[in-house]
Amino acid sequence: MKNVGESDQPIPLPNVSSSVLKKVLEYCEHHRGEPLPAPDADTSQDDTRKRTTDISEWDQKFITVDQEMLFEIILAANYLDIKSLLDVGCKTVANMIKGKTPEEIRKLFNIVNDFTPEEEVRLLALPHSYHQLILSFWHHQAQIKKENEWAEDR
Amino acid sequence: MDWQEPLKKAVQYFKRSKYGECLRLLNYVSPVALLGIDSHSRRTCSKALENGGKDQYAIYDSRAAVYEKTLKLREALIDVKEAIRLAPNRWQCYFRAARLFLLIRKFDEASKMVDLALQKVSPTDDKNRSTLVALQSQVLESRKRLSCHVGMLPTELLSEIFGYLVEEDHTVIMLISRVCRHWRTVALGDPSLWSTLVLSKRDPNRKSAWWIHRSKGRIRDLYLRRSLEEKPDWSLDKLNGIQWDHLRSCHLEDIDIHTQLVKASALNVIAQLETLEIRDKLMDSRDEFGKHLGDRLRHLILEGALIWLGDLQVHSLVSLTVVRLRERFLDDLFQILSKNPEIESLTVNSPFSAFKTTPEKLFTFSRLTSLDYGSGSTQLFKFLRLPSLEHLSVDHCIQTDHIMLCLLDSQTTRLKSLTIDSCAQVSISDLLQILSQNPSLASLTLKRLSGVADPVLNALRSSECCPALSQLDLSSNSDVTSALLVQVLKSRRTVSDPPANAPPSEQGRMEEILSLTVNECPGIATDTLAWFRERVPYFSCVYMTRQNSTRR
Repeated sequence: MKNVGESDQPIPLPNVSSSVLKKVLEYCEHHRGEPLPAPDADTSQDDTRKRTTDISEWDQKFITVDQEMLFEIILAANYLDIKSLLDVGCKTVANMIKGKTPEEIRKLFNIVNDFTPEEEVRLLALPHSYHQLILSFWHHQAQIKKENEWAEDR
Repeated sequence: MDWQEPLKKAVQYFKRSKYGECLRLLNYVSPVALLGIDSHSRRTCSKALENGGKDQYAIYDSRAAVYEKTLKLREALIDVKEAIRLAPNRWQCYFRAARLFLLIRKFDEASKMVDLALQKVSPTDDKNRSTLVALQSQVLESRKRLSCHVGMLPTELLSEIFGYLVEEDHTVIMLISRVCRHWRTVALGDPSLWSTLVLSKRDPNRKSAWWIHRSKGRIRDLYLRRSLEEKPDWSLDKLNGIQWDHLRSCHLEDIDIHTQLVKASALNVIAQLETLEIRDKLMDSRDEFGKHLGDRLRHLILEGALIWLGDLQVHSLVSLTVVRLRERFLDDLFQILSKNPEIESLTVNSPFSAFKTTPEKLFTFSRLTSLDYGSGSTQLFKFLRLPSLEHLSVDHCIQTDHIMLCLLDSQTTRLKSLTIDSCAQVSISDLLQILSQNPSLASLTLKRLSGVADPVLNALRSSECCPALSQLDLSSNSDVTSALLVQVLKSRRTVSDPPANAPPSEQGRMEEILSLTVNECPGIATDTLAWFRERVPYFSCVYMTRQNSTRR
């Protein structure tokens, strides 16, 4: 953990349950001794190569848990600043989403489709010149249709 | 009127699943219904309810049971609430409330109701206690299964996850932003998720405006498709909002943004590019563009573009693809290769002529793992050493001697896939030596060759030749026969299943052939097709395509 250093003081972990902490420790134990990512790793990676959602075999097996545990692990890794574990968690969720339709994603994560035409229009952060175009439900439908078309632009 | 009598009847209806009748009776005796009946009946019912005293809860509880059965959950909850108010010590009411809350996925409330029920039920009532404990477990399990755990993630982590998806497929952002309001807000709030702009004939004016807005002008990957020409109302001026400093990848099809960059005083952007793809049919010259390329360029794809490769001052390429360039000498290709020794992937599908000036020395490309070569002359290979090559595909070369010798002289031993297609001359002895030198070879394609398949199949019968081979394509070879193929498959099946007690040294494991393609091979007998289909998971044998039959 970053910025903790040598200390006898207990580290409060109010946001991490014991079962999750056990998993986190299992991960740390397995990866003990591996070099930490360089502080500027993100920047250099962004510049030169694409991030992938590949996960090593051990990590894949480790992270094969139910959804509640998966998201608890991600939150714990974020709270404890364990970058590599956070990456594994985020990649796992990304892999779960991959190839699915919005409806399938909702079903997978029990997400409620809370779009109403008015809210959608309000949420669309568009340039002012286009606001007039979408001030009705039908225009919104046209936009969704348009975005569907654009999804074909590869 | 005795309120207990209709209640008893209602219970009987309930037991017979006649919920309509049951509800009618319960409504008749419930105080809520009193408002809707005549004064005489109301007086009678009120009296009945008064007579019922504390037991009135039974009416509400019974009616809640009917509503529960008929899935009128809101009404059921209202009644059970009243039942609890009237009889706060009856554990059954809490039990029903818990079940109802579970049905509407209010897990906290359900759990609380079960706890209260457990407090009220007799400590000695083991049967009902265990029922309540089972319900508590069901609540916990449902909470685990049905809760929206992804909703726990803070925005920045959700954005991070979207980032992974967008890096693999930039169009995914449009699906993500249609999942729910929260996801759309997160998606629209992160400009980096909108940094890929692909413009084609699909309403490019509106799309460029939206994307530039959503990305805050930070377009990193720009694709300008050829079909834009079909939109007369579109012009490069629509890209004015782009902050060109962020551009790292540029893909151009017959569209020249050079002048636009000049106008924006952003020519320096070209030197920052990491990926450049130019596919031209009509452009006269790209020389101006090429002059500005710098050492950040890692991927270069040129199709039809008139750019002299040797003139490019680029030394950082990891992949190079050249397709249908106008005819030129191999010197041009060799010059750019010699400036880029770290190259990992090379695709050449263009008619290069033999060297005008023979190179003075050999070049070793120790990182080159993937090579796809389709050009007239193979003289280039005389001057290359490719020790790390893993994937080689050669097609439409008159002779392959230089390639074979290059592999042998380079001591290439890591090949995983080898394709030789439509080459006039292939040295059998060299090819067999290469096969024996590369034990990791998993995919072998030998198509449209003459006199090659037969000796290769004979070699493949041996366990020492290509033990990792699992995909074999021998299409359009006249010397492929069923008998030979059967022998190969049988020999590899036998070796792939060594006796369990055999010592490891004797377990010379051989992969089974999982994919076998022998299209347009006249030597494959029709009566053997069933045998192949039974033994090979993917087997294809198309004797003649309709197109070819018409041609003949």
